[in-house]
Amino acid sequence: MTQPPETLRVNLRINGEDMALDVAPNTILADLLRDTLGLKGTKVACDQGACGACTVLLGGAPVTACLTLAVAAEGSEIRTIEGLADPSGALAYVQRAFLAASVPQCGFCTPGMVMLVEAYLTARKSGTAGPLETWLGANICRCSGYQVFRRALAEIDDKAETP
Amino acid sequence: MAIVPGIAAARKRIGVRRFLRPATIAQACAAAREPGTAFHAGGIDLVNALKAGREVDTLIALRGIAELRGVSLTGDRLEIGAATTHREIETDSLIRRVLPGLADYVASLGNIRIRGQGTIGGNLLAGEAGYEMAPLLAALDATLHFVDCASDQPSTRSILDAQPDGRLLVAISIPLRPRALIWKRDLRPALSFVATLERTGRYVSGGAGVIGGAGAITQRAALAFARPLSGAELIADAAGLARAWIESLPAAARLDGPGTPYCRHVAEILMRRSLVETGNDAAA
Repeated sequence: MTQPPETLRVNLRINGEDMALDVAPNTILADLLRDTLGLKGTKVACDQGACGACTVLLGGAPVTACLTLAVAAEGSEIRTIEGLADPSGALAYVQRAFLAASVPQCGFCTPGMVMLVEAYLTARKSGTAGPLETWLGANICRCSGYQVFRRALAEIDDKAETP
Repeated sequence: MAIVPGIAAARKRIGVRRFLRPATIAQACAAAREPGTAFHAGGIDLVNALKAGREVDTLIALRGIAELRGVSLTGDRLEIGAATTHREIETDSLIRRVLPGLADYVASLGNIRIRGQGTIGGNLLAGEAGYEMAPLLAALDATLHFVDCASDQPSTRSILDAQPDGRLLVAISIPLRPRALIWKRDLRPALSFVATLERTGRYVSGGAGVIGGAGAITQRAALAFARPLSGAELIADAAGLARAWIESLPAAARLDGPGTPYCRHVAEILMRRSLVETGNDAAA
């Protein structure tokens, strides 16, 4: 008879809250976020790391939550779309820019897109971002709303304001 | 404290039961002697394989092993830990200083999410023909440093002979010498092309070209220079040198698959263009 998985204690800081979770080693981070913690903003689409719908920030860097084992994130700080607005509910700069440009169509890719751009702005501060255009190919919009997306991003790239 | 049920929540077929976090190479190798184990670094290809049904009982995490991470200079060689991510390579200040072409090449691979997670060792050992680190590192004459987990003995292999076979990849070692690094990726993932040309002032004295990609077997051949050539001479001889280069690839190394003649033709053109570009630089 197959033995059950051995759970591991995993310490994470998720959207500013420290958590100690006992996690089975076969748990995917996207499922931990969505099914265990109820953070449904992180979407799972292709489920093989190609589309970027599941993008979250791990230590400030964008990662593919559908290919990340939760136990491998031990000790990390994770931000999801739910952790972007400030505690009063005021939307983050990227979210406001997306709203202003009416970016979302079906909206399924939007959380991942927003997290990707949030990471870009952070990388830009440290001088390691490179051109925004090189980041855009990471995530896919199945509504093909790329022109609207690019308009919002051009606005972000041109503005001196950063989060 | 929440209890996470794991596979039921994951909706996946991942059968992994244990996840070990060794602190040293020796500990990782000791764990790998047990059956049903696999090393986990970035995890991109591995987790996809697990979802697809690859059976692994125990994962051995490598990212917590300091010996497997980071970049250093040892004599005239650049050493890169196998568990160093692509993003760490592209932003590393030492690499930017001593081999900027490597950083630029890596920055153009995949996308920012994949580069942030994926490691150089994973790229080499994933067994994906379309992955592009092997052609680059072969062009740079890089060698791979392994530890045989059965005997704890180190070994060194060329990029073109990189099957792990029970070994743990520790580091990639790249000799540093003055040379131009040129790559053409327009036909990726079917064909990747990388060339190095050794240049001293206005003369080019030799080089090598590598083909790889999903439509090719990664192979390397030297460029045959009878003597150092000036920029103008290199441009004049470019067609003949490119023809001799493609013809010098060993038979077993020839591009494979239905697109073979086309890919060989294109690779020859890419080499010729690279020689002309370098000739123009040398003549300027």
